[in-house]
Amino acid sequence: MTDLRHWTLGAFLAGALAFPAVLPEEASAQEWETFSSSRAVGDVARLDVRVRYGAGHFRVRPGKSGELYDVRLEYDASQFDPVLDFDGRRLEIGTDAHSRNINVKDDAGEMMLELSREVPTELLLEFGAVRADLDLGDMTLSELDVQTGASETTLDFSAPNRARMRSAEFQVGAADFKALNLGNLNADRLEFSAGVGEVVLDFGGDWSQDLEVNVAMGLGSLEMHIPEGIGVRLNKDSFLTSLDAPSMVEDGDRYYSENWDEAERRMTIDIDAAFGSIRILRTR
Amino acid sequence: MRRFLSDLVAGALLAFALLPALSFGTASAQEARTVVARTVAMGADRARLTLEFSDGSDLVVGLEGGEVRVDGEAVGRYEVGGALEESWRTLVARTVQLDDEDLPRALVEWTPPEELDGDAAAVAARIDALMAGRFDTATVRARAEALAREADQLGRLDGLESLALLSRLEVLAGLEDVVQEMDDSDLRVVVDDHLEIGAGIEIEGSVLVVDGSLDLLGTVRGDVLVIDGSVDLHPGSRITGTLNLFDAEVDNDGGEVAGGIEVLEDVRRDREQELRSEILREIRSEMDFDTRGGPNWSSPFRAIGGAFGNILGTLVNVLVLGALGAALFHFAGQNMESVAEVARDSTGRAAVVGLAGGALVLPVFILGIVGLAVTIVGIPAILLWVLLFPAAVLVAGLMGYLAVARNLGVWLKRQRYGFTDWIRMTNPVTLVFGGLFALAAPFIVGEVLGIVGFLGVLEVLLVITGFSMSVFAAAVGFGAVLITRGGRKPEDWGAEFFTRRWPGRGSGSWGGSWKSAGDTAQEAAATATEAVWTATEATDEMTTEVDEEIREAAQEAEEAVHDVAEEIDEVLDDAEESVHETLNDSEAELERKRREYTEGTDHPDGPETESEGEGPAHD
Repeated sequence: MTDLRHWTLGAFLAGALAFPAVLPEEASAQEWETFSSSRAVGDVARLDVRVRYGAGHFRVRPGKSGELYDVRLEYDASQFDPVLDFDGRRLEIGTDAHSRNINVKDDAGEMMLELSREVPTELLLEFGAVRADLDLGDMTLSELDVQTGASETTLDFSAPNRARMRSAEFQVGAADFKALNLGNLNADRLEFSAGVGEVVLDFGGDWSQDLEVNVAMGLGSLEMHIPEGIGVRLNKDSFLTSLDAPSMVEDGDRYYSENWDEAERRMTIDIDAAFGSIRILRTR
Repeated sequence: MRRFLSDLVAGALLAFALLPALSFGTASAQEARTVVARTVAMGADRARLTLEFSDGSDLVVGLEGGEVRVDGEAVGRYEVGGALEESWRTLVARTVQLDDEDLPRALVEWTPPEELDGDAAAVAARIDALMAGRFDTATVRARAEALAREADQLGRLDGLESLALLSRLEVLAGLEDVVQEMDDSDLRVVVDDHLEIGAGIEIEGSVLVVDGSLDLLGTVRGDVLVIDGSVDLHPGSRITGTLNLFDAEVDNDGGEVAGGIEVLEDVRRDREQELRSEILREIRSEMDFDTRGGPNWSSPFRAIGGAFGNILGTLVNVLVLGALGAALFHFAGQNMESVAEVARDSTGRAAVVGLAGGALVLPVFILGIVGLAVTIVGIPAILLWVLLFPAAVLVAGLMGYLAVARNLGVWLKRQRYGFTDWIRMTNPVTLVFGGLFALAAPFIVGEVLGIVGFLGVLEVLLVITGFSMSVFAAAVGFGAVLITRGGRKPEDWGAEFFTRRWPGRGSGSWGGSWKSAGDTAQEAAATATEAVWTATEATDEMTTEVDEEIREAAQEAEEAVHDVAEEIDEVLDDAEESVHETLNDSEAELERKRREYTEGTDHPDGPETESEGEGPAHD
């Protein structure tokens, strides 16, 4: 439970402090501008990407061959400034608000980011009131950290990650979060924490190694889709949380899938949850 | 002189500011410098391009708030919204889309707008020189030539494709308008294949894709027509003309189509509608021409077919009318005979009555509706009137026409033609059919003659004759029906009516000389007038009845009100009387109590006794 409090508090703090307050107040007239920047891979061997995006529609996808990054921003210049800083190793990109109070409308801008497929990349994504569509498949991600505020996020590893990832972290605030094909993550460990919202974690894809998943859930529902061929062991430490795992066998505080002993790939899940519901579904 | 010196100093300063860039560009023109990063910032008042080169240098050129800035230094001014800004914005926007090979070419090939002059032209020329100076022009030229060669090879038809295209000529014919508008000076055609126009490639002309697909990353300086295929517009792609789609799909991922995208299914639908209208116009025109008797050499088979169809239609009419005639003679033979007798013996009179009656049908119909509406109570009967009156007129017309046909059949039989042997004088059905065939004969013969173009005049004459005969037969028949009231009245019913209605005119003049045409006309008019009179009379009667009913109802209501008023008066009288009585009683009681009280005060124990009961003190 200590972890739970830590993650939940952390997620809320991330949402509250990382971004300016998003208020539905009247703002001055919008001044739409575009900002585009691209860079060839050149001699860049590793890339450390930090993205901060406050409000709007955010998309990420793998770039063209030979391209290090390509970013297209459409933003309201009356509220934001574009940010782009590359020092040869580290890329900081996104928008910077003029004040803490920004006005969010239906048309809050857009950011499209293409990242290199070939260059090993550590990726940190922080976004606030954002609708995010993230396709991180077929990249070479060595680390991944996704932190969302009040967002609606779909993250898809549409193709296997080219690099072995030590760990991936998803910190979700008050959000709807859907992660697809996490089997393509190619990671040793996945840390997931969520404050309030509906979360779907789909572990389809090509499993190349075992995976350890730590889940800390506050209020909300969590649905995990796990392929039938994967052996699953679930440790649950929860308070007022329902668990629906019809295909698993209970053994004390642990639950096992029937194929745990003979499965080629295994997944260990530690759940620390309160006031929510958890469903474990097996998929073909 | 001072002005000259100040200009000189300003020019020297400007040259000094540009010197590093210009000298650098000149010195490094021979180096194979490449762009490693580009950044474009576009806003309402700025369009800035930042380039980073492989040798570590960079170049920032921007039009910002009326100033031309190079590497952060203002080097001149431009007209906001003018030709230079527009051209520069177009170039800068393109740089976002171009790949690393084509970006230098686009920058080097950029030329300032020709309409610039003065300072604007000078500063634009400097930007142009700056761009050209930063790249290896030989490499750029080689790249341009390679792209031009590649562009020249694209979309050239081979033999198989030509044959395949022939099979789709009908589709192209249907899109004639669109195809004709396309620039065919250098038309590129792809049939049943895939065409990719790569980034940087520019096609000078139009592109036609049939049963194939097009991937456009470069530029087409013309129109694109895609039939039964698909087109993908990639980021940075451009079509300067129109993208026409016919049963085709487009996936636009950031391409620009200056002339817009047009879905030709709509165009085809409009075209089909036009064709349909055109065909209809032609048919109508031709029918009119046939009716006028003009030659119809261009379509003899159609003329034969049309004539055959018309003859068939006429025969069907004869059969239907004959069947109705058989039914009428079977169920109302006596009536039909009476009508036929009047039509035969008083043909002229019946014709005039029929024409007059026909003319009065509509007024009587309307008058009937108005009359029923005026009576209020007759309003529900309007519906019956509207339905039954036209039906009655139709039946009357049919009866008369068939009766005349029967008479015509008798006449035909008496001519003893060989082809009338099937007609029996004792069989009214055969007589009716005989008459109907006689009435239809001009039409049938006319149609047959109409097949032969130069006999069209005769056809017209026969049609007019047939039409006149039919109208006359209908008029005589309708008149006979009116005169005999559907075959129920004797032949001189009209005379009796006139004698009765206008006795002053003398029965001799109205009832006796029916053979005179003048009398006949007068009688016909009188018959028609009688119908109107009867309708008016009926309306009057109904109005009178309704008035009477209303008067009675009003009287009854008045009496009822009177009765109620009397009852109210009685009740009021009773109430008043009751009140009076009550008041009198109260006054008497008060007087009695006052008297008792007065008497009580004259005795020492009087008031104490009163105070224990309901004495006046409490009141």
